[in-house]
Amino acid sequence: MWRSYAFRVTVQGLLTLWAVTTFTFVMIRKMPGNPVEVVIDQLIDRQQLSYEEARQQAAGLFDFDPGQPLIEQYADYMNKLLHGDMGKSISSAGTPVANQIKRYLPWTLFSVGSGLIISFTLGVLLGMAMAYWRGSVFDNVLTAAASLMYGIPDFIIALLLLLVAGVQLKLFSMEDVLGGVGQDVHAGLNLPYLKSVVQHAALPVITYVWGTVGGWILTMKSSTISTLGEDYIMVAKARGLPERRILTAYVGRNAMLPLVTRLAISIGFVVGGSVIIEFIFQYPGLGRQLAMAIGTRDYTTMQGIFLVIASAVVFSNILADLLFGMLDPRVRVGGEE
Amino acid sequence: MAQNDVVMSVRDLSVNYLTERGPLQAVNRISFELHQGETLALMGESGCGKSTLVMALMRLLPSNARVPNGEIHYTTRDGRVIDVLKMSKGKLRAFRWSECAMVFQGALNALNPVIRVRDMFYDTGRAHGMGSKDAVRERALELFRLVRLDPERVFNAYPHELSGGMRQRVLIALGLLLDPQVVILDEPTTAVDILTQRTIIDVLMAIRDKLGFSIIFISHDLAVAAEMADTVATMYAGEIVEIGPVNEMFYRPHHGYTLGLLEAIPSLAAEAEELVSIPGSPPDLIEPPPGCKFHERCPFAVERCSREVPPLVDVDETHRVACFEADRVIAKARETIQA
Repeated sequence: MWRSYAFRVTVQGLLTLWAVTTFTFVMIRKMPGNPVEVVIDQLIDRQQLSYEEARQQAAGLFDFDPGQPLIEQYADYMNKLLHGDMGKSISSAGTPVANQIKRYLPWTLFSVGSGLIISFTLGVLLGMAMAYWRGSVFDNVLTAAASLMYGIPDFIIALLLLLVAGVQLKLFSMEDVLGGVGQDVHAGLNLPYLKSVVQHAALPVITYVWGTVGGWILTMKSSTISTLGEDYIMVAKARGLPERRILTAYVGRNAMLPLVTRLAISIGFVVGGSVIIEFIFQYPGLGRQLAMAIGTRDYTTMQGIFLVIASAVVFSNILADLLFGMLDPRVRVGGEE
Repeated sequence: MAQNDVVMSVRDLSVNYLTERGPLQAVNRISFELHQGETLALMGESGCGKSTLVMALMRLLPSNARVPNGEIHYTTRDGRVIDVLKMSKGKLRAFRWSECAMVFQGALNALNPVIRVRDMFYDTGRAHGMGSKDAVRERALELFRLVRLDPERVFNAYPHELSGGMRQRVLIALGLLLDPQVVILDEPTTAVDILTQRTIIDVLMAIRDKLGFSIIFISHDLAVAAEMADTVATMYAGEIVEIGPVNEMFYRPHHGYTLGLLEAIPSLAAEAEELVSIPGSPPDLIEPPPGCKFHERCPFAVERCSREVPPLVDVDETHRVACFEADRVIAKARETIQA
């Protein structure tokens, strides 16, 4: 039972990845423009070259031929991919895509990951408290605040943070918060470095928490309210169980079930990061890298990053499945006894 | 039944629900006594306050409920008298389930779906200082055998792995874990099929006779009430309008509403047209009608019924009724029931 399930999940995951890879491959190449044209345009702009001169100069910069038939490019790409090679970046010539991902992924994992943990924890605790004291001032104020926060797009929050807190109120200076880490600290396990990393991650994390905590709060609140109305909560009270036991094993656990799937799917999107947020804060994560790759039509880098994102989503969906089975015996696969 | 074996005594109990339009009188000045080993059945339409009454007995009322007056006294096995309404939170927690347990209707949702049956027994045992897990387990398996369940399998199962009838019996076993003196059954047979109903009633009667607890019993099924109950109380609009021994109530009803309920039971012997439903619907409990609350629907009502509230008076030592026209009701009852 278990082995056939693992097999099914693995095959499904691989099929999904193949489909996503193929789809993004085609879509990326069907975008208007290509890497060579982007550079040609830049050369015309910057060096006032004629189109013909620019084209010749640009062609020398790439070992990439946009004229090659799509199907050949695809076969080439898939062949390399199957051997574990994601190719080399087109715009930063010579850099393997895998190296780029290795370099930028940790930043995104750190910032969006801690944002997700903070947001989820806050949301679950506040949502549960609000459900317990529903109708109170605490509940009403937070519900309104959560809806408001949930309704504002995160890039607006990011811009407001920079403009209001940074430029107008001067709560921090720009070089202290933009980028991934300060210029004058040495990478490694030393206090100034870690402090600088946290300081620079603060704004993206705040933005991320601000933009998502409302959703967690509202979902957890409504989930808790419906759990509180269940007969088994009443029965647990009638059985004279201590409040704390009811709160954890009867209310909390059941109310969190619907959130688990959402959490796992959010984990999938952690890897993709928040493209616009990272761009605004110049945060050196995978999201900003993706935005830059799109700008220069760096096909291989885009493909590489999309592949990482897709893998993360596929993997986290499997995780959601397993986690849900652990928490809710009703959907457990197969039966373990 | 002697006067000194009263387990639970309810005096003048009222429960209001606070609503936008004002207080809703769900239970209005109810008094009754429950004796050791007695089974009391509460009958009446949906919304007549039966469930509210039993919830009040365990102080499980929702937060918008108020108890403006009344007393609930409970006598423990060693003779201590407890004032249920004045108990502290901690004492109340200890009182619940160990003295007075409840088997809820709708066994489907009464068990936490994500934990095993055994954990619900362990939780309950631990909350009441029942000692080791082994002690809880032993007692649970013994109870499962009493309610005719496969002990080992059910003990380790999740609720969704059990059928509705099995879950209902698990709840009954869970209710008896701490050997309570009073077990409240809120429609224990509504959610299950007719054969399972039979099993559950047989099981209940057998363990009641073996363990000797008292039962307060809510059922829409008068046949079940007739079979199980020693005493029957008819509730209408939050009041007990008639209470008496089961045979008295079923063969010599003195209240128009009791008679109406009896006439509404289909019987295999009776012709279809003899089935009579009670016209109208229950009154608004926020602004109840003056006089007897049943007078608008009562075929025996006279002018006085709409002015004066009939008090609950003795028909004989054990049978009491709140009706001015009880003589005419019993005359009619003799005709229809004997026929």
